[in-house]
Amino acid sequence: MKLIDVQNICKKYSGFELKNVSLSLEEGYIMGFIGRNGAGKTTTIKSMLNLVHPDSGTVRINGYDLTENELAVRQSTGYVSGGVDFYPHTNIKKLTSVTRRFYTEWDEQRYRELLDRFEIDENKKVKELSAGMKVKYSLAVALSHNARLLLLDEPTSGLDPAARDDLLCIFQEYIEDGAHSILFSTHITSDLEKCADFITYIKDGTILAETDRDSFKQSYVLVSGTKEQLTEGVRQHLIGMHTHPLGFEGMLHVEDRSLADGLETAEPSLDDIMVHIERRGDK
Amino acid sequence: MKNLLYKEFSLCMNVQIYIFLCLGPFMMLIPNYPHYVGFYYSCLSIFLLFTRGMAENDIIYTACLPVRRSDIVKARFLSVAVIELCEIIVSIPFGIAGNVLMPEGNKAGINTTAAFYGIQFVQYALFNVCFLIPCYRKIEKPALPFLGGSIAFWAGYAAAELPVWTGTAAGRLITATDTVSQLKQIPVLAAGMIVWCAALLISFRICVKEFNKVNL
Repeated sequence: MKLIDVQNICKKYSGFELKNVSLSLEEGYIMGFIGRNGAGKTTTIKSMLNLVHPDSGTVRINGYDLTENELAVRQSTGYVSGGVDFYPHTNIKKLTSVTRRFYTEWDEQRYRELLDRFEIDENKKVKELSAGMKVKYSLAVALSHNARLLLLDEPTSGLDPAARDDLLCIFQEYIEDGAHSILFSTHITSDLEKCADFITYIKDGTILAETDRDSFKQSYVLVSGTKEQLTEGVRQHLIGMHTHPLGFEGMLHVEDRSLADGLETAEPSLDDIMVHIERRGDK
Repeated sequence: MKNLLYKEFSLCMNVQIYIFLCLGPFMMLIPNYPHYVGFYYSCLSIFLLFTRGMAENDIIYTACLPVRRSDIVKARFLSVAVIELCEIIVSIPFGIAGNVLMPEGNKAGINTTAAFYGIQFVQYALFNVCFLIPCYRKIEKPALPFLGGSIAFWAGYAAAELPVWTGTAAGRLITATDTVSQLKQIPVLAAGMIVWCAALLISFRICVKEFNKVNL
């Protein structure tokens, strides 16, 4: 069953437009949603919860049509944003005592277990939690109301590597029963190398690619060579080309690999792909 | 809805709001003081409710919960109504005490009478329309709407006190504290309550439409 089925959503703001964005994700997987800041990741995720109203397109989450069953979508989805503090001056205990009332499947025992595991002191105020702890608290809430799908908007931004690694382990555990999924937006692509099954790349409000992680990485090849090897044919196909005194480097689509004969090649990381796609190259 | 109301009163209200709520009734015991002024503190309480919500990111928190947007607006409107009704109900014994303790009457304006409360309902209606509707048009910018609401409140105050200050027949009737006159004032009270209810209902419908359009 598809937990995410987004078809052709469009949203126009002055200065930014989301153009025919489509996404789908089956149960039991993590999808990395990448793109640079301002590419449309947050707008897309918010459209999936009706926090932002798309101008057109359809959204089905966990089998529910968003416009017809918005409350069912909210009950079965956990939304965690790394950048927002709710009620910073309120203690965790009080905030949860209010939040849990809204969820029909709230599991208090599970919540207690998660607080212990994440070492969250519920007598602390929200503002007293570190960035990592805030994300963990949001996750504890989302996991305690039996969310089938987690929509995570930059949850690891601002976290140290140890805290990020800890969260990635939690994400893996969450999906391993095959009934849950995660859409994970980030610009820290190294996190996705560790946990994402699929990658969706968004640039300037348009989806550039939606595929499994390995296919995505294998669809590009890094090339470098001397100035003499930089022919017009190579130059025209290079993505994010950069020249330097000794020569050039850039990225080719794998179907243009024949142009790389005689050049040094390497398999790109997600980071490499993002850097080259977003780079304003020399040409 | 009861969960949203619980959220409003346990997370959104703070001590400052309750203190302001208590000020109005106590001010009715000040001799020769314009009684409408005390009720302006409940308007400040409502403004604080919105600014506190803004500071605490209440809109996003609430919008992410499994609730309808119309219910979010309804809960806030019910909170506003509760604040205004509480202010009026709590002030009644203070108003009666003021009339008993100061039998010479209020030289600064209207006495606390049935008509006074009717007019107070109208002033709340003016404030609610001028404050709440723009608040939901531009979420998280309550300062300008509060200025508009305050202007409406004070304009209503001036219009209501003018007949009393100038000593017209209508002014003498609405400020009279004897039982017969107060019975004659009941239609003013009833009309005020109807205007208040109607203004809240109309504002609510407009605010739901506005809030449904907002991208958060």
